[in-house]
Amino acid sequence: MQKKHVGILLVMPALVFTLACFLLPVLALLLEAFQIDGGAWGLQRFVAFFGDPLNRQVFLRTLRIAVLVTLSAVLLGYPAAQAAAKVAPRYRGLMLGMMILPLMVSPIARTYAWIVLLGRNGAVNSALQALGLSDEPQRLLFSELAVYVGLLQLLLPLMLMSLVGALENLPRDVTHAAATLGANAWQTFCKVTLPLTQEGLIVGGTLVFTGCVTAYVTPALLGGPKVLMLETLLYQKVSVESDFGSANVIAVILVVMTLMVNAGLKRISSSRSKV
Amino acid sequence: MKEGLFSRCMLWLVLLFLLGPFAIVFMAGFSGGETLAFPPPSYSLRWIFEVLAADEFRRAFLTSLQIGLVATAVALLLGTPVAYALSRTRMPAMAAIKQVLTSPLIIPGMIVGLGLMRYVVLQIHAPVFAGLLIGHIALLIPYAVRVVYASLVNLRVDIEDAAVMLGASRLRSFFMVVLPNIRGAVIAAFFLAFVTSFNQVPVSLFLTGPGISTLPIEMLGHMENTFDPSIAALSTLLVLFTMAFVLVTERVLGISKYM
Amino acid sequence: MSYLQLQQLSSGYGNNKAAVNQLDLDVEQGELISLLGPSGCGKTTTMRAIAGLLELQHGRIVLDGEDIGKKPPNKRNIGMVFQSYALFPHLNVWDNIAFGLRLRKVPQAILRQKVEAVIAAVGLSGFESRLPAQMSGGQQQRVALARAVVIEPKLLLLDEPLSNLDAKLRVQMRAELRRIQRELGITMLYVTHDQEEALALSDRIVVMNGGKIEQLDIPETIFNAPRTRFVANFMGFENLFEYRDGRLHHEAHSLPFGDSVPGDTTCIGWRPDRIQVGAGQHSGTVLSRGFLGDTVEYVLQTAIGPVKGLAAVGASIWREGDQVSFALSAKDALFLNQ
Repeated sequence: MQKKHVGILLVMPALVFTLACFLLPVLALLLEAFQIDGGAWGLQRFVAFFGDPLNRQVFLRTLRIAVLVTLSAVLLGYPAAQAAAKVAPRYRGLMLGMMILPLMVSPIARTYAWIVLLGRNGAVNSALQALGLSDEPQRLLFSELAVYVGLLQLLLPLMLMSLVGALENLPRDVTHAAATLGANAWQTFCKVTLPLTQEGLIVGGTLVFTGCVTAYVTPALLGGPKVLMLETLLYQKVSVESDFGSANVIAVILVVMTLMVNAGLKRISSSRSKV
Repeated sequence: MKEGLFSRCMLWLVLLFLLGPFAIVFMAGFSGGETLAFPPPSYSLRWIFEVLAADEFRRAFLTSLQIGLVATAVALLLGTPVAYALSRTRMPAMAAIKQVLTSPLIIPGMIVGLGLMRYVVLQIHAPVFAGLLIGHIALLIPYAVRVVYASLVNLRVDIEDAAVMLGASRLRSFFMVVLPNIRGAVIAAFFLAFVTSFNQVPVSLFLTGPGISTLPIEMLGHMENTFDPSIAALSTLLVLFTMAFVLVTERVLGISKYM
Repeated sequence: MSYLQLQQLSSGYGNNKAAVNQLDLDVEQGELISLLGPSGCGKTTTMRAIAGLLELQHGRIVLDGEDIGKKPPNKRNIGMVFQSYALFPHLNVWDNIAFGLRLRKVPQAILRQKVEAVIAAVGLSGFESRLPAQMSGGQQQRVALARAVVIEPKLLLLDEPLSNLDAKLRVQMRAELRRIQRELGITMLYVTHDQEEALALSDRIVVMNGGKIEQLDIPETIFNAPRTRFVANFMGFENLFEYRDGRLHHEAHSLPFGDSVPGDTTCIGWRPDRIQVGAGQHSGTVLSRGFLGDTVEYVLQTAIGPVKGLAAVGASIWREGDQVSFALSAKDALFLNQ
């Protein structure tokens, strides 16, 4: 039918562009990781990659920090989102603006504050010395703690926005209904609020987790060459060591992780049978 | 209610955690000292002026601006027809097309940049600027599609039929009747995409070259070598600029409803 | 030759199923014809096929001597009023109405004249700079009508234009529509599922079912003498029974019906107001009782299934479960042979 053809025509330019300038180069890159010298296919590169203890350490560290940040985001985000969802309509715009603003600012600017705070001459060290808790500046930067804090600050708004959205879509008075049936605050949360906002939680969690795994600026600035995460490792492999083989392996790992998390999200949300 | 109090405390804490750093960046940016000592020994506009005068930052800013504007415009040009097709026609393979076009949001940016550099830029000997542009456009298309689609879906289809029955061709009907009514979404998509492009780091990392660099990349490079408040000053300017941007567009357009 | 001719028209939405199948219809110039039927009967499909918004799978459409089947919809010069008005939200009343004229590059002076005239004709003078969102349903409907009419189309299609209005407004607008149609002499095709509307407005009614025409007649005939069971049921003959060998049948049961009937009768029907409850040779049990104001409506369980009849308010003392008699008289009956 005529309409179908028009539809295909409208979609073509974007589709061709995305395929040629995005998908194909990425696919080529990922496939390279499975190719070994001589043109054959194999997983040797992966074996070699994980054989190096440094690589293993970076991989596990990335996972560890991602999980910690995600959990923290949930624990901090939920109560904050609940309060945010109840804010009077007058202040809603302002509140949303305050939550969206960090997302619009460059990650460099946002991470910078931690450099200022945690640096050798930074605020925390000054405070420690002033309080007599230490004699010389502590190395706070370039540590896992620094990366953890920086990533949490970077990605928390994503969790907040997902949760606020989900909480706002709660059917009205559902929590009041639970209260009239005898549930206390904790029970209401566990049995009513949590299940109903599950999807927002999962979306937020996915965004935070993938954000951590694929972060570059924050680990680069706060972790440095000593505390590498997967993306900073990738950068190092390419620009410093010219080790494209390892870089491809890391790329595959990153893509697989993000795809798995996203697929997992889709499966869970589709099983909710939403229209 | 006790529970309400706990939530509200958490909210304030979280907001402090999220926005406090901006205050710190401001203070560091207005520092009068030589190093990143915090709290700063004195306050002055000295680093702000230095940064504004610096050639490399000015060049990088212009590059970021150009890339941002062009990439956003192209992404909208490519993405709006897609949003229209997805919302108006019953396309076969619609789900698959949606997947392909939103994949840039899922694939880590650095891999895109690396892939583009090795397989496109090097292969066809494209100029650095073109490589950057292509990378940014690919990244921005899903933003354009998503925001415009959300608006199109809420616009009734029968007004296009009405325009057609009054004598307009389908194409004219799009320009005369559909576009004016999704103007807000298109502008919102423009802002969102532009900001995303401007702040982009991972995609640009491998695509910048000698002499051509985006502002964030330039800032990163600078930070590796010098430890003075210049980047803090630059960040301060960027944050102020972004704040003004967001405030104005929220006031004028109510952008938050498109997020 | 008729002004509008539909010849063996077939159209639909999927690739296989035609929602309208080989429809033939002739419409004279200046006529107001209603396409009446339940949802899914094909009336809207027919209209959209005439408009060109749906592709013709088979057949011809001839308007004023011209075969328009292959013409794109924007070149057919057919006006259309949509169920939800479809006013352009970003344009005010004046610009909405002037839209079609501007596309035709009508000179400014003439455009102004025509738009002013039609705005006055629909009673919206003074509303020129209002936006659709600032107007009520009835006002929006009048703008939609004005917009379609000002381009002086050869044919005006109206797709259930009054169904979104409240009852009182609907009756008012109905009269307005009829008046304007008569004044301008425009040929109108009107789609509706409301039989009262069709009866009040139309010169002729096309009752449709399952993509085909069940009956095409003037309103009086459709109302008093439906020719098929479907039309009879649709027009309010709620008591329809099979007739065979002098008896009325319903599943396994039957009642004798001795009066003489036309030879080929296969079905007899009555309107509820033609079945007197309280006296007669048949009897049944009261299933439900409904007060209608000046009469009381009874649904009775009888040997031949449920029967709906009326009784005067003063005479109706029976309640649910009571036995009551009722009459089925031949002189009030409808005899069908289809």
